[in-house]
Amino acid sequence: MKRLLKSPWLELIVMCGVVILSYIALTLISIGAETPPGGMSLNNISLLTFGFFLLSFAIATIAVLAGIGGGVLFTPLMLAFTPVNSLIVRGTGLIVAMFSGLISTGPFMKSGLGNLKLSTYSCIGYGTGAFIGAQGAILVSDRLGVTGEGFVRITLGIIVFLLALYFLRGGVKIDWPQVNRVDRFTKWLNLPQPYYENSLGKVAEYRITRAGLGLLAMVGVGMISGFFGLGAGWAIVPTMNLIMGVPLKVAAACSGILIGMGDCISVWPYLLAGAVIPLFAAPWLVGQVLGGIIGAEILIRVRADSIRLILIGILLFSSFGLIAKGLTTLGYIADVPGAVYIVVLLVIMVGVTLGLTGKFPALGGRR
Amino acid sequence: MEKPKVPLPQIVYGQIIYWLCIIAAFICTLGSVLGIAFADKNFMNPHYLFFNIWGGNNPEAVWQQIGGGFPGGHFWLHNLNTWDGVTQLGLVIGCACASLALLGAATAFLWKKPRSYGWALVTLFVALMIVLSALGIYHV
Repeated sequence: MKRLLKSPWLELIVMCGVVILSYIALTLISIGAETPPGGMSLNNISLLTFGFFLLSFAIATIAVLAGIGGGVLFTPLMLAFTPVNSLIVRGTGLIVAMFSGLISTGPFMKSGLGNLKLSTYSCIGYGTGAFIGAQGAILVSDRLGVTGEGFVRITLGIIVFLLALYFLRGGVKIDWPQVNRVDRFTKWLNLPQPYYENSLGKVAEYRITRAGLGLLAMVGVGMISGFFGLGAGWAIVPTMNLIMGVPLKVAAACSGILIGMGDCISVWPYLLAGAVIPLFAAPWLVGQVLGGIIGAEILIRVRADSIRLILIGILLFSSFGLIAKGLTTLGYIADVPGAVYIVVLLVIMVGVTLGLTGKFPALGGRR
Repeated sequence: MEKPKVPLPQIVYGQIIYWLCIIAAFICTLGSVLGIAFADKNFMNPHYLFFNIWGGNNPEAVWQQIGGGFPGGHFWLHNLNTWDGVTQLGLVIGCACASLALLGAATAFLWKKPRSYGWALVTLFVALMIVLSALGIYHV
């Protein structure tokens, strides 16, 4: 009981209480309320916003665990199942991606799982790359047109798929990479930071290497993000893990921190252009904040191999989306219906769940 | 087993972001719920707003049809007497919180001995990128 009166549970309970009471009050007010001609009824608005909050809460919990922005899940869902304009979806998607990262920053930093130096260092590369990528998108669309964009998407989809396969086969080497040699530049940066690993019950010390190459890769990741206007959480974790030798759990935490930090730069053009509409975005923001706290608390306690399985699922889903969109852009296939995306997502989620519960040993969960 | 000490700049950064996000979420909850409950006390009436958004209209058309045009991203400055203005204030606090947290972290890097001038500079650089973006000067 005493635990519930401490942070983060106290603010979580207070916030959940405020949200639930607010929506109960809204429901009561909406009974018998008049709807102006040509407008939506108060009852429908209340149901819609409460639905947004619940969906956002679920998305944030999963996104924080995998170290991705929730936009990867939010954008396809919204585009597939709602008539909302794509610019509003993208603007709100950034809010979704950003706030799960921002709120999880607090618990990650406090526990030591997050690493501020590594995150700000990576943010320089990511921010610069995103700027170059956004400018490049304009250039390439002028020169190569849709054909070029289609090929880039397919190539990227294949790379992401291969990454997923590598993570599937990598096992412990990926959860806790062995770094045998640290170059002088990385040593000079002094990036590593030991932390208490809850799932192992001991202090985890790690080494980081190839920081220079890592920064260049972050520029590349940022360029992809800026070029395609998509979140890049799925690429940040592998970059930190495979190139710099950062343990998977630390990489997932730092990825969330970096997304929060980086999206604080990229969200403003949308805000300043009016694509983020306050009353529409607010329930999504609140859901992200509350779901993000839960996700962060789970990540701090969960085993590293569970994170790898969730990441594999996200990589496979992203790969499917990129290849499908690329083939559509090139005119080889018709527009993929939203229902197909959802079926693929569900199949992947079932696979990940089986892996997490140890019922699918080939996936290597619960060793 | 003794847990390793977490560096001060990291704690400062995490705590500033965390509490500003909680404040932002609290303002957005109250702003949006009261905005929906008291439809007339908004810059854009939520009945028409949600009808238009659900109708697939683009942001420009939504602002034009209901609010008579987009008043700018910082419209909350002149509309704090409306609930959507208050909600926008919550959004702005959330979207700017990393810059404040980075300033706090930079101060902590300079405060705590041995002082890390390099890391203070790096955090200030990222904070500057966010501030320039919020002013509409640098954007990706």
